[in-house]
Amino acid sequence: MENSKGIFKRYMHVVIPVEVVLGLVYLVAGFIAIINWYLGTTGAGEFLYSDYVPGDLGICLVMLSIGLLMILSAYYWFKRKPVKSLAATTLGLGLAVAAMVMQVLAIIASWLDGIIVGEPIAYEELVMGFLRVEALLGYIALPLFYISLRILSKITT
Amino acid sequence: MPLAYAQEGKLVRIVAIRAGKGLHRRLHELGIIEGNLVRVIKTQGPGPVIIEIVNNSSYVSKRNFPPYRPIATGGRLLLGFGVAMKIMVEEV
Amino acid sequence: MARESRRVKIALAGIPNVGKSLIFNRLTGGRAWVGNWPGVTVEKKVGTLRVNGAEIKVVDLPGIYSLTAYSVDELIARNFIVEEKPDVVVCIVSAINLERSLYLALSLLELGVNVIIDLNMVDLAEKEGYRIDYKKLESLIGVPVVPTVATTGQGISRLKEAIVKAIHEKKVQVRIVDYGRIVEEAISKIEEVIKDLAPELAEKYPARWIALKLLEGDSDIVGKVSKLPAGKEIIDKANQLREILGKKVGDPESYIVKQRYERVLEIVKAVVEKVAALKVSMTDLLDSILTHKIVGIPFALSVIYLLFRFAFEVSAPLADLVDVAINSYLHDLVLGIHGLPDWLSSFLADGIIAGVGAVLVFLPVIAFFFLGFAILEDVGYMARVAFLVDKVFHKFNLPGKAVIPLIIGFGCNVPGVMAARAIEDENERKTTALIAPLASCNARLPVYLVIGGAVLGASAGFAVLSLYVLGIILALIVGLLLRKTLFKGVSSGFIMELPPYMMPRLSNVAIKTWERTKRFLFKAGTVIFLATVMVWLLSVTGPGGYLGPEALEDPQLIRESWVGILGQSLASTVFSLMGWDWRAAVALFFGFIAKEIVVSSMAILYGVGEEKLMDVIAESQAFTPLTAYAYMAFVLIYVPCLATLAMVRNELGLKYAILALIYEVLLAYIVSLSIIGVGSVLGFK
Repeated sequence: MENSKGIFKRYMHVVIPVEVVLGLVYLVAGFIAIINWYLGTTGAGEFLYSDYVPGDLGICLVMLSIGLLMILSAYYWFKRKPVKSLAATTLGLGLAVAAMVMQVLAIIASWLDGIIVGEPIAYEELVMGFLRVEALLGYIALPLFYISLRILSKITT
Repeated sequence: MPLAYAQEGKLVRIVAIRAGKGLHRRLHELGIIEGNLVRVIKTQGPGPVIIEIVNNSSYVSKRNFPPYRPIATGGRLLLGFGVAMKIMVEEV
Repeated sequence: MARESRRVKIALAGIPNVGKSLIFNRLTGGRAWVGNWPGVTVEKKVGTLRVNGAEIKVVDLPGIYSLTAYSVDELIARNFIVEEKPDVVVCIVSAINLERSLYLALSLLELGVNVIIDLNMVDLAEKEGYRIDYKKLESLIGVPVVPTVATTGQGISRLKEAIVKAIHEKKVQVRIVDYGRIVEEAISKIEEVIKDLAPELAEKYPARWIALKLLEGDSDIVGKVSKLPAGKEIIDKANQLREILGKKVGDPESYIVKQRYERVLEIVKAVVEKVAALKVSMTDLLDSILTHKIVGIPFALSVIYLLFRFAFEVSAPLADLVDVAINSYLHDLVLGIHGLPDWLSSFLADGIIAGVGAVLVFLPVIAFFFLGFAILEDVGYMARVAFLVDKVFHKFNLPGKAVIPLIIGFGCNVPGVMAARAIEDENERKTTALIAPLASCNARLPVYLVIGGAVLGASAGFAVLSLYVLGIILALIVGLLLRKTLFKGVSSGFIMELPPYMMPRLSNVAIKTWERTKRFLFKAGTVIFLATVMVWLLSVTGPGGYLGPEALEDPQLIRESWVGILGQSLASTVFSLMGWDWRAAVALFFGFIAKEIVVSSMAILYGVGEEKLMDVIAESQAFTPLTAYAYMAFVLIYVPCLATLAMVRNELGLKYAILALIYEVLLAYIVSLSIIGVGSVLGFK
């Protein structure tokens, strides 16, 4: 147990802040998504980064939730509760990974769909799908998630 | 005070149960018995609660919550708002 | 060893969440006959255990906390034990939920049952930092105890051996709990009376148990005893003693339960030993975040959103595969068969195959949805969701647990209504079952997409989202109304075990998913299929006689069919205020039978294939944005499908099914009209 506490102590100072920053990026992306959605329904103005950030309320919800979790983590961090802080970031990253996986699966599915229905496949669209914001950030989140989870499981039952 | 208002992390003793026969019996069989100790794990206070029954004799020290806690051999129970309002407790 | 001449029978008992189903699978090899206990909607599972050349019947009793008369499940278990006299009852005790599981074990022992204890989840107990001295437990409780880890299969073979041994060596421990001098005296007195006056009763049940039940005031036993010739005397004596006890120790029932529980606590303290220094529990840690006041709900909503994404988008290729295979390929294939009369050709292709296709196209979405949901359930997350929403739900006098049938209802209303069974309080259960159909199920979505996409353009997505939200809000409001009128009662709240988070078990998930999907398939296999055929029939015939399959493609011709006439009369009367035309009206009519056919019947009415339907609707200007939205709301609210009504009838009775029908249609009418009214006032078109 001393060993695991040691691992935790060493890494947490690096790992947690990195993850929190990532979370803040999600937060920003979430806001951009809201803006894009609003622009979409009222038809006014230019989209922001529309290729990467869809005006989709659902994804916006997910990204804001991730951001929120990271803020919670920062809160625990400053309240000297590093274990809870790590738990919050891990869950946030978990959500991020889940969102990325869904996007990837959805793109693969639409590719398969195109084949089945016999429509010409717009490959550029597919590629852009893999680069959509939650997927992109999710790729970064994945290794961080794995690391955090390992640390967490060593210090808990 | 009703269990619904108890504070998180606190140990409380059950004082009274204000419920009909069926619910009363059910609560008893789940370990929620007048005189027993219960720890409040989480609450939406006031609101539903998550509790842990504490074996009277096995809980000795006053050490409360994380990261270290005494052995909990029974599982956790989730009590809805309505039920939590019917169980009267006092802090220990 | 002599073979038993009659079939040997054992039962599995345990409180919920102890791994009973997994043990059942391990013992029976997973094959089970599933049905219902006679006369009730409680599931009964029976399997066969093959060991040492013998075949042993294994009956899975419902998950229960005790053997009182207060719950149907418990009565079922009790009566089964007494009447069918299983040779052994394996009581599964969870090492991480000792007190409650042992309480059930003691209750079983008092009933004179030949019990053996399966101490499951010992691995999880080790993780929690303690171990159970099962040999000591064995000596304290007087029956065999076998530790197991059901998830890995450890201990199962020893369990099987123990079962075989117990069949031949019966151990009975009726006196497992000592109730103190005063009560024990009372018990002995009643026992004597019973043995004197009703010896047959003492043959069937242990006399001590009857005495205890009479002192507790168990309604079932009191009823049974009063029917005996000497019944009145026995009961009078019991009541006499109850009064005396009441003065000395307080309410006899409470006292008895408390004593029993005290014995459990004694035993637990004696057999548990701490083995490791403790760490934080992962479950606790995760829960502190997941049930957090601020963060908990957004997380839950995100998870649900991702679940929807999984169900709709990832299953799309499969759905299209089905669509292409059946609605295009097979359909055209049949049409191409030479030598068939026109009407038969059309009947097969546009009637039957279209019918089957309409249903199977939905299958992938629904299956994926239930798969995702089952995974979340198995991990244990759903209980936390119930916790999060309970406070809000309580304002509507509903238990937080009711959120689960509502979420299931988003997949398909039929299993959603059925899921309301899990709610203990009868009034709350009925209310939940009646409001579950307001959850916007998968079958309604195509209607939203087609109509919304055609008329609302860019705002369609938002409109659809608003409908889902509207469904929930209406469900809560209607729920509150029902609770204030028909199903009055204070919210008894609900009690739920909060299991530790676990990796989802494939078998559990697969079984649950299959069962819920199967519900949908059955409704599909019958109702929708028949409905589509009926639509076909009414479209190719009319008061003027047979119109021929050309009617399916000629919008003018179809006006003369039954379908057209029906639509026009509906549109000019009932729906005239909403401004919907006859085609929309007909589609609603058929949608009453099953939402799945609304889009396909509209396609027929417009005489186009479904791909072109959106454009055609947009062009025809049959809807304005306002009337379109009102239409979508109507579709959301009015009866989801005949199968859902059938399920309501199954669970609650005919009276309530009719009630559901009436209130939903009325509500739909009122809401659509209001939308149009308010919208016009606000200046929308």
